[in-house]
Amino acid sequence: MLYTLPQLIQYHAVHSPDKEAFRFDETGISYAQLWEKSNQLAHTLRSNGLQRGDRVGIYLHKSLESIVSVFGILQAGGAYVPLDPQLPQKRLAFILKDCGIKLLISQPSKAKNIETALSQHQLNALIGVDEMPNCINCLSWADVYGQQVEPFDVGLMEQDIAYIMYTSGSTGEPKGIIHTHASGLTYAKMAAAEYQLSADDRLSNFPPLHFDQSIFDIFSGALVGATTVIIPEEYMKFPASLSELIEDEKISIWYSVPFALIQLLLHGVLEERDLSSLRWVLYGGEPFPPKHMRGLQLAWPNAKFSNVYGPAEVNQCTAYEIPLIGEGDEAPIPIGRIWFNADGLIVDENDDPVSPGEVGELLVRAPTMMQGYWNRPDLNKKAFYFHKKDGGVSHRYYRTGDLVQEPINGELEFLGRKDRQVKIRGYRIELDEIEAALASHPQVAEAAAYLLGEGETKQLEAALTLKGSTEINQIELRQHVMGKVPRYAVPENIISVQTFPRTGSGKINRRALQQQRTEELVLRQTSFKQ
Amino acid sequence: MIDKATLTNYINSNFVIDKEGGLAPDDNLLLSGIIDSLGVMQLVAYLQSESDIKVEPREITLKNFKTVNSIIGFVERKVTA
Repeated sequence: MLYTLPQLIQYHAVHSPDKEAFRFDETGISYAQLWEKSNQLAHTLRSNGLQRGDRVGIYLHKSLESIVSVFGILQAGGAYVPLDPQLPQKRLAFILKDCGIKLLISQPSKAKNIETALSQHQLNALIGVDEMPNCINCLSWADVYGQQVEPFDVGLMEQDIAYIMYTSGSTGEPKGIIHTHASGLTYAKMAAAEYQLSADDRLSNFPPLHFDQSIFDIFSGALVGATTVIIPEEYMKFPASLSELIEDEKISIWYSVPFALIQLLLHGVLEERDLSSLRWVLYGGEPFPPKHMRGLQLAWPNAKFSNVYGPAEVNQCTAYEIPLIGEGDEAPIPIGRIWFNADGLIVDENDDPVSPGEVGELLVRAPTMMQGYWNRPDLNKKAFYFHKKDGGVSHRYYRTGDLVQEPINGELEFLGRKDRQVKIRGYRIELDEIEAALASHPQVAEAAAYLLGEGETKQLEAALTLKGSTEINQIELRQHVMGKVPRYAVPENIISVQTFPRTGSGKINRRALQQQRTEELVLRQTSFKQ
Repeated sequence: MIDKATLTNYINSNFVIDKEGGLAPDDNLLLSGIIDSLGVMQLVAYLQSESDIKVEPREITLKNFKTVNSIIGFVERKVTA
């Protein structure tokens, strides 16, 4: 019986040692090699002070080392904290401190960012960066791979923390979602069963490590002894190269945000590729435009398609296999039924259940649910709802903040958010956080951020008013924002306006502004076409 | 046809380059996060108007767009083809 995540690699290192576990850039690593390297990293971490439960940061671009890092940290009894390699210095410094990270795994190109962040925070060791001024304990991968390969038992339990994933918080400070070996492994098992994974499968790993979809790619793949192909980050920008990679690597299971699939459909020259290896295509993170889903279903007739819904806090809540969408059918694709082993409640503002057909917030209880947010008792209090049933026993439910419609036919429909969280290319973005970043620029008086367009044309825009009459330097303003929020949260377009539309109470009327800008854009596009 | 200096200058003034001294001809434009997916489309539109070429979707690949040098090589091949 498997109880912890590193056991997945250990099992296959014994039973199918030469099978390729992961591939990156045409190079593979077998289960036996991954197990050995994970143990070598685990020894390195332990000899540099790692205790069971300690957090270790992974600040790396995608690579085989990033996978060795995941399993090495877990094997040593630590919890991995995946950090967006594009993270601005201030945010990196915040997370290092917030999570109490004493050991960090990174790469030479990140040395400058790390050095600045370390002016406020002390590390025991920095692995993977051997040349940095003033680095007290810098270790190279050659140092790691000089360690012994024998495993050691740290007495890991299923309730130990496995990873902490940071996501945007509405207050401007990111929050860390804690998952245990139990919640991660249960998810890996449930997903492998739902999508009938086997050792013959070749999974894609499209999302980066700090994105929750990677849990499926890495752990469900390793559970069944399959091969997971890590897709280098730059492929996201080149759909024609991405479709070629899927063909060459014979990917059978694909999981990503809709954006990547829509790019493939529209610009991936699919007519020139043989992608018949794809047998199940999963997407999650945001709604999928039905016309594009139909396009993919026609392009890949052998594949099944599923909508995977669930915030990072729960991994997955519902499953929905999508039947062939009819021509001209614009009905939104449902998120489906509450997953097996999970339970859902749909409630109104007073936490009372809504009637069938009414809209309410989805609350979910599942064995794949997070333990809570790291070091944030205030958020944990708000995030959970205790529901008494089964003879007075109280059960903990996570408040998703997502509005859904109580099903009449059994399939839940997603209808938006309760708060100001939006999604762009699957990334969770808090509009308040962007507005705060813009407003902190000395020349900016007020700022408002909003979404324009839908589907593949969806983009983030911000409008601002200035304090003086001097024009603002766009590049300098963007750099200012980039210093505060992740790159994906920097608005694609920032416009300056004389005044904002206001509500009766004097607040910025964001809805009116968004509508006004949408109309302006439609007008511009129409006149352009003429 | 567009030359190396003009292209480098265009990228330096239209994208945020987090590097002292600006962009070098062999810098990987993609890994460093300089150009995102919308940036690629912007660059394609620029190349088409500057060099009077038509870039096909199948040509918008990692190989052709990795560095300033590879973009120039790609445009040269298109112009002389």
